[in-house]
Amino acid sequence: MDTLDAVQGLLHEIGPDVGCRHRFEPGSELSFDLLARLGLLRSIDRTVPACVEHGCPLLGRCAWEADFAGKGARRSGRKFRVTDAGRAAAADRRLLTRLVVDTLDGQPPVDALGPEPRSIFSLASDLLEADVAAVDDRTKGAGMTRRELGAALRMLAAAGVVDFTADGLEVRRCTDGAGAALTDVR
Amino acid sequence: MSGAARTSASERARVVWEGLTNSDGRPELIDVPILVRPSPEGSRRGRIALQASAEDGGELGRCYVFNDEWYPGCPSTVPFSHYAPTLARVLTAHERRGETQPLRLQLLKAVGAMTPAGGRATVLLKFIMAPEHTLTGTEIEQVYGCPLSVFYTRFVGVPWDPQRRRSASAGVRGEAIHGGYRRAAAEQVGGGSPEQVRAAYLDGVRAVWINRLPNYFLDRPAGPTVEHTRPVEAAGPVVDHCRRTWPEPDGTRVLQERLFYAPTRGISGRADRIEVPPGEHAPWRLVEVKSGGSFGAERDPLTGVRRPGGLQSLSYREILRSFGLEGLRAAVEQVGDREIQAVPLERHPIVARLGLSLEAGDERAIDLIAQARNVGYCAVSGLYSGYDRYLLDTAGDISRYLRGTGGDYDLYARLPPCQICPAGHRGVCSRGARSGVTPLDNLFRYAPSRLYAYWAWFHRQLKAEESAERRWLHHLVSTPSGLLEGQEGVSVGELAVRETTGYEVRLGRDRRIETRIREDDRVLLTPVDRLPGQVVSIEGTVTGVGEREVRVRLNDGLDDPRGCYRLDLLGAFEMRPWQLEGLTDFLLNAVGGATVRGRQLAIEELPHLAQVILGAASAAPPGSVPLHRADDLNPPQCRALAAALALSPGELLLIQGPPGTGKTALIAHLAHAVLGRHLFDYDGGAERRPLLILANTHRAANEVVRKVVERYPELRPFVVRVGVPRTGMEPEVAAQTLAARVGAEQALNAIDLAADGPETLARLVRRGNRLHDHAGIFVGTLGAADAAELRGLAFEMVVVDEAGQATEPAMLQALRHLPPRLEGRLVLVGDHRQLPPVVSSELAAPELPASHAALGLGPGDSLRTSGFERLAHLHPHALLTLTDQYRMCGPICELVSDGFYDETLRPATPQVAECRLNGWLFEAGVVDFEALLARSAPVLFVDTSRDPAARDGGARFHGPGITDEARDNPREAAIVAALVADLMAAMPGGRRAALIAELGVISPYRKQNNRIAQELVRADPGLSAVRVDTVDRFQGGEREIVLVSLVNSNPSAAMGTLHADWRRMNVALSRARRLLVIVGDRSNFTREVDRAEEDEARRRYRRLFNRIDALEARGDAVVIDSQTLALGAR
Repeated sequence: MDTLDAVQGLLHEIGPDVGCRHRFEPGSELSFDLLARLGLLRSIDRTVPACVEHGCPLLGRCAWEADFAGKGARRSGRKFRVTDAGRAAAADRRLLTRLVVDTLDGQPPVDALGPEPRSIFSLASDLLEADVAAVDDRTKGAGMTRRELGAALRMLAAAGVVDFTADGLEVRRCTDGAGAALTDVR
Repeated sequence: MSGAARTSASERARVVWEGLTNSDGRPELIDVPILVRPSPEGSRRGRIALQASAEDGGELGRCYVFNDEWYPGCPSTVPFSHYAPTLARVLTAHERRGETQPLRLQLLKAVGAMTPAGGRATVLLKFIMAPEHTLTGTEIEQVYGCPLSVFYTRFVGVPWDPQRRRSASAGVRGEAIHGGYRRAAAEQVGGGSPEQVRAAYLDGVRAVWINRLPNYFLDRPAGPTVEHTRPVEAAGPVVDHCRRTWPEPDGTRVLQERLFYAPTRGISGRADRIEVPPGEHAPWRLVEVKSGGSFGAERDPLTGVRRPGGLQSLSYREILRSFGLEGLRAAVEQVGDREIQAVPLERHPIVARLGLSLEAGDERAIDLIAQARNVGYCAVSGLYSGYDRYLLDTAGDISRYLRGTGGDYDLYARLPPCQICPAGHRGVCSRGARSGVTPLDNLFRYAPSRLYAYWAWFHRQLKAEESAERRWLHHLVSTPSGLLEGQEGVSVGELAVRETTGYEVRLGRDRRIETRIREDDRVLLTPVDRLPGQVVSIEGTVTGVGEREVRVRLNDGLDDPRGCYRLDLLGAFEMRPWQLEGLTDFLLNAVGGATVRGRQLAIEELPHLAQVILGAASAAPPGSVPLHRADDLNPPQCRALAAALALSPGELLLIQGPPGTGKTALIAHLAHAVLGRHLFDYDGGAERRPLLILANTHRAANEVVRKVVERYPELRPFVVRVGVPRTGMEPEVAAQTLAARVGAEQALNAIDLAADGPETLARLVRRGNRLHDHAGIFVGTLGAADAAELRGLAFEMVVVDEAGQATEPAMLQALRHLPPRLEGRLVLVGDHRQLPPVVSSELAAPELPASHAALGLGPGDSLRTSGFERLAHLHPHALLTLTDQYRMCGPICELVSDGFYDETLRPATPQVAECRLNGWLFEAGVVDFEALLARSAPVLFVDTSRDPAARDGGARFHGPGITDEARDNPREAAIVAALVADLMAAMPGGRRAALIAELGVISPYRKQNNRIAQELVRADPGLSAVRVDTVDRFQGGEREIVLVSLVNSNPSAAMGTLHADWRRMNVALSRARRLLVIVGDRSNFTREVDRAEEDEARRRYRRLFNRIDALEARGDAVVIDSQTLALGAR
């Protein structure tokens, strides 16, 4: 199962219910923020339901449960619902692949990838430098977190746009590009 | 106590006692030490009967202590007086602990009362208990705030949760203001202009900002906050205040942050400032500076204003009064936004609320201090609970005043400062329980017995160490300086000032200096006519010890450059008890991580890793994962790396790394692999990070950082060396500290601090936040588990380097940063066949019940048994040993392998096996190979067995806890020096520095090392740069050529405690790459003697020398009788 399969599986699993990042993100290699940016998930920012209200299976075991039970902690951006686009993408891998490629391929630092392998550390380093530079420039920064970058690269790898080498420590742009991926969707 | 001092104190006690016996029945204020023990007559409710004696043991007679300071014929009592109930507790605890020594009391008030029957009874009314036990002024203030808090934090060791992000900016703000004020005051008193005073203030602020910058990173400011602006804004008030206080230089001396200690009060402290005006009778002024922080501050009953520092000032004033300084004025200065408010102590809220009168002899003020001191002594020593699980759990049940302390409740703060006490935040203290924190009710009774036994066993030993430290100052002032210098080696007297540069001072004398004081030791410099700790002492750090001189970096300016001084070793009596905190944190996390609450826990209900550590579950055998790109690792390293990467959460792996087997290289690979695996798992600001590496020493931590960034430069942006750049830190390591990465020093030095400081600081903090967010590998020392950079973080994997040298409680620091329920991976890297942990004294470990044998602790184990060693014995299947070493050539490796590693160690490559000194010398340009060392086989043994001149000088230092007996052996020193000088003579001039850098001389004794260093210089002044050091300080180092002087050679064949630990010799011999020279008396170490504690060491020495014989037989070693050596022939 590749990352796009995992995305579809996640969207199916959430279905009409609430998807909490504290339940689904750990160990999943996915980023809820990235999925939201792709339009597949929508953050619940008002009237965020308590965990007991949506019957979270982690009740009583989750370190974040208290945040949603009382007041005080910031709760927006932590629970999500699947959007219409998400439901469509969950049912159509081709649609999901196109969405991923169209949205993510041209974004920095993915856009800088070429056929020569680049260390994932150097990509992460680019994000760091952009973030630090933003402190002085008072700009927004890299615009993408490390987790989002990882999830984006994995989705693009599943779409056949990039591939990982050297035991996952390097990444490069596939020479046949996304076109192949888009015409060769399972 | 010294003979003269004891006699004097005893005489005074006898005179006082005599006076009491003949008094008119009225109480008297007195100030003498006496010793007491329970009287055979027995005590009854409300009355304690004691037998008193003087310090010299001379009997004084029977005496009594009654509740409420009652005595026959008294007109009124003192309700809730703490003296009797607290003394009863202390005596009970002493009896329970089986202590046979009498209890020392500093008697402050007593009465020779007349009984109704017409008899006489001596009644003790006020006293300080066990004054030899030091409490700091800060601790006294904490007792006043809440004794229960002192019990939990200073005795039990309840720490803050390091995984909770806790701001530290306010603390740095205060430090910055203090630092600036200190410099400004010194400048003003020295006659500086207003501009210079202002500049000095800002320099002080700048220095604190640079040194404490990581503490600011715990906040995420959008712009400058009050924490950034206040220190700069305070410049005006501070400068104005300085100018008003010292308008002109008038000869006033300002003593800043001087340590003072009253042996009669059992209190030590550092007042921010003591002003000594000119003139013999002018009153001194004591000033405590406060710059914020109202938690625990006393509230003025009239104005409602909060004022901190009251009891601290009262305590310090009392210390100075005990030195005979009368007429002292004291004040608390509060640094405000616009001005500094100096509140005279007599107008401080604490004085107003308690109705104290600060006239000489005010008893209520004495009661206040004595109560805080006595209750504090009991609380930090655990005298109220001992290790009774029921008492530990119920300590706070009745009130925050600790069960059974009695005491005048008026003499405590009105409200306890629970906001700044970790016990409530951790759910231990029900009084200070915080919302959202699950209480750990009945923590000690519900803990499984084995967990409790484990905690208590280590806890007792740590507290015993701490107790010895707390008595250190008393030992210093009560022992004759000659004894301290001659027998214990902890003092150096008759020192004259040779040179001063700022706060750096070079002291010297004509007589040779033989001492245990060494570089980096904290010391106290005191005029010889005064005792240490009497205000005039200045603290410092030793930067060098020579044959006849000592160099010290002082904390304050020298008062009299022409004076004669003594230098005393300063113990660690006020260090944060971080090992205790790690131990108790493990208890809290193990119980808190259990699957159930509210009843006695079974050990199987603890988190899995806790069960493994307690021997209740087996550590999983090492697994494996496929490895990529590990070409530069040898097979045992690959296996260890694969096993570490295969660990599941909650699992443990032990990696034994004998000398030169590439432990650090393995850790660097592990860092690369773990970061690669988790690089995309964590976001900016996330609590979970990939890897934490904690080492036992700064040197080891630096080495890890150096290796990681050297081997994998691409990891640099993600590696953080915890802390700030330190002296001696390599530039590439210093560059990995967050302070260096944000460019703190350059940025803050380049600006006008007054104009741009806050903005620049806020920008640095924001930059630091970003770097911290992206960091994935953190490296620090075990003591840094609570460091700002690590607060709030949990790690997927924690690696402990040099785990064989860390005590078990120190090793437990690593577990503080594992995720909840200890569900992270723990890798311990070390070698239990090299040096064990250093503990400050030789402690007898308490007995552990046989039922807890599963912990793997038995007779002979103590705090010196590292956690690595215990776990290696407990879980041998979880231990992987690196066997391929890259350091020693074949014959040296064989010697070490046979002697200490059961012949399992081998050279990693043929090149390592075959490397020889002559090849290296040839490359260095040597053409003359006549020197003995140049033509020697890789092992050269100079046997002094038959050399009558080569006998050691005997043990010099004796005493409890002294392991360095200070032996020397002049003949061996001369041989070593001659061999080195002989080789040096053959070196081309331009290559001598290279040879010196690759040559090391080791002996276990510092005294011998001093002698060797002197002999080397005598033989050739150019040899002063040769490193001559103890084994302990050489661990982790290596050299092409190593000469080892064994030293011990005497008629009784005493090998001393240092050699009796054979692991020390393993370390000494395994430092050499190409040539190992051993100079010593073979028979001294191999002869049959009847000393069981040396049996194991002698067995290994015999193997060692037999192996040298075997090596000699095949030409890989040379054995020479020292008498046949023609020293200096060339």
